[in-house]
Amino acid sequence: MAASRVTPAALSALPVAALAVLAAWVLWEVIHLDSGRALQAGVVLWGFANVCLAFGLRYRSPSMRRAGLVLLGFLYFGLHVLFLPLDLIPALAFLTLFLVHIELRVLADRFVPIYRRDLSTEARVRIRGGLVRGAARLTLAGAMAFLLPVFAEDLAVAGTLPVTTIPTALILAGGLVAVIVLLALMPVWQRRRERAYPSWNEDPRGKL
Amino acid sequence: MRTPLSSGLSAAALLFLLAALATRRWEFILLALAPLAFLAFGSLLPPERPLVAGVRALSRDRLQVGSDVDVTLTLKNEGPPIDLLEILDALPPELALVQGTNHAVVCLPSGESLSLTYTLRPSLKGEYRIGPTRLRALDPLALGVEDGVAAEPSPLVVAPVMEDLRRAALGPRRTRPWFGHVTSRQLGPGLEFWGIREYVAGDEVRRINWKASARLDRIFSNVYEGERSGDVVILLDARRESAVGSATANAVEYGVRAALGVAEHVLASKNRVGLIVQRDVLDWVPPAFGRKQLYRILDHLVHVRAGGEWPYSFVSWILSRYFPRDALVVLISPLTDRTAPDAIANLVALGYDVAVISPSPLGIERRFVPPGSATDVAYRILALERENLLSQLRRVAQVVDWDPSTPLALPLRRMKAWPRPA
Repeated sequence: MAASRVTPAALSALPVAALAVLAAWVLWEVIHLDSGRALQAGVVLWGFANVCLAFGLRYRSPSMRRAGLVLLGFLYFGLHVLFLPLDLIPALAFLTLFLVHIELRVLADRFVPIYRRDLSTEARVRIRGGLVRGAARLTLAGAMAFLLPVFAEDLAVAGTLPVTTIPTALILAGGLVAVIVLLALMPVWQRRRERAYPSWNEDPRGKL
Repeated sequence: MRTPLSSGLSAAALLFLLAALATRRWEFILLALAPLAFLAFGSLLPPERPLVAGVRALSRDRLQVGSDVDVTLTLKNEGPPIDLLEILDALPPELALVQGTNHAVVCLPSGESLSLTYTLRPSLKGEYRIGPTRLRALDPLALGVEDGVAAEPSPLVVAPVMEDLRRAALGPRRTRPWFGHVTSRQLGPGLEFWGIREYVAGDEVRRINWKASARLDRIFSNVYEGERSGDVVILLDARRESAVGSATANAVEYGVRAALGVAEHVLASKNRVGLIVQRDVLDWVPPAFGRKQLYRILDHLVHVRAGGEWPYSFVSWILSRYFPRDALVVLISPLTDRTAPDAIANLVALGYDVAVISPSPLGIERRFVPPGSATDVAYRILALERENLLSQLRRVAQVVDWDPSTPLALPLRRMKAWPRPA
């Protein structure tokens, strides 16, 4: 029974903790700006992003939460493009934490309401199995998202993969654009296929 | 099917790539790899369409408002293993979940089964469908989903609560030539002693009054008041303007409860009962006897929802053409319609006995309004207006002002006779 209380509490707290770390991280970057105007603008944007996040969390508004999160991300990388040097490892750590926060939020939204209900032992075991799988996948994906670019950087610095030359960058960019376009078009192709089942979002009211 | 998060990750990778080209900094190309790593990892094991068979079992398919029904949903995975399967047994909002869960996210290996058990408590009468069971195979990283359906919907009929009117003296005043429980003003078979008369050939031996015969030296027979039955027509006002209160506690819902209680009580006394409902359509059940008629009336009452604006003139037309003229008309209405007094007077003029059961809209509304001096003054003014209206009606009909927070039997029991003797 203790686990049934601890798990939802921990699941709810983890995304918030990750978000707090992200916000503190961005603030840390902002206060290290030399220019007074940039500092002021950075603080205002940081405050606005936090207001959006707080509003989104308090009133359960996903759109406000997303807006605050995107603003926070843009602020961090904007600062590094315009004013600060970009170190790969901290930037990667920030980006990975950012992505992990989003995935943790999805996991929490899925599992916390279910854990708060009165469950049979069988259902509880199955749900715990699902949560463990989700957490394991997230850990692996987070590790990959961090280690893959680090490994690529090592290869590039060692000269095995010359990613710093313009032609290589262009080829790589072309390949990535193709992948992304493919990913973007997949839902459209899938939608054109037969839809044998009703949508999940259809009105569940089953009045005769 | 890809999710918005998948598109978001693609967009983020594209932005990093554009930033790398715009700023000519190779670090951004490497940063683009992070969201792509998530996308690639999610694409390695994409969710497949769930092939799950489902069976839903209900502890009962007919129940009363406020009673519980246990639902057991058994699902068996007949397809490939599913890492994360979201299960949602769709429920109408009127059915409250009191125990267990109808929603779960589980890992379901191939060939394995899962049972979800939950208890529902309906808050409103009606005919509902539980289900269908919606399934969604999820990618653990929320990058793709596949939807499916398992168990088909199960019907559930929720009957309104019946008012207990066992002790209420409620019945028709005018009788018809069928045996029943209403004492008529004519001699005949019955239990109420009326007098004696001289024996005539054909009288039953058990009706001979032996004491009187011995004293007067002639044979006398007892005669009794004939007990017969009559007709009652329940007229339920379920128009939109009568639905004062919340979705579950409004004058129409209370009216339905009262109508069912009156029908049960009158049918139990061997009278005929008919029903007219003013709602989106003018719905009626012709008068008949017995338990079957109660179920017919119940079936009509289950579907009553506030709506429509049928005036009383249409009801009078249906009454005069399809229902017997000597029936007792029991009008169940909150009397929010200003034409109600005239309509009732017209019914009386047409020759009907009319009784009015009025669920008080003031009593219902007061529960939803916070107390305060202004509210109290407004309530007192409205109560005076209502009392005035009821006094007008009492000149032509029996009127019961019912505060629905109390059982209907209480105001009915306060009445000396029902209906008022002519």
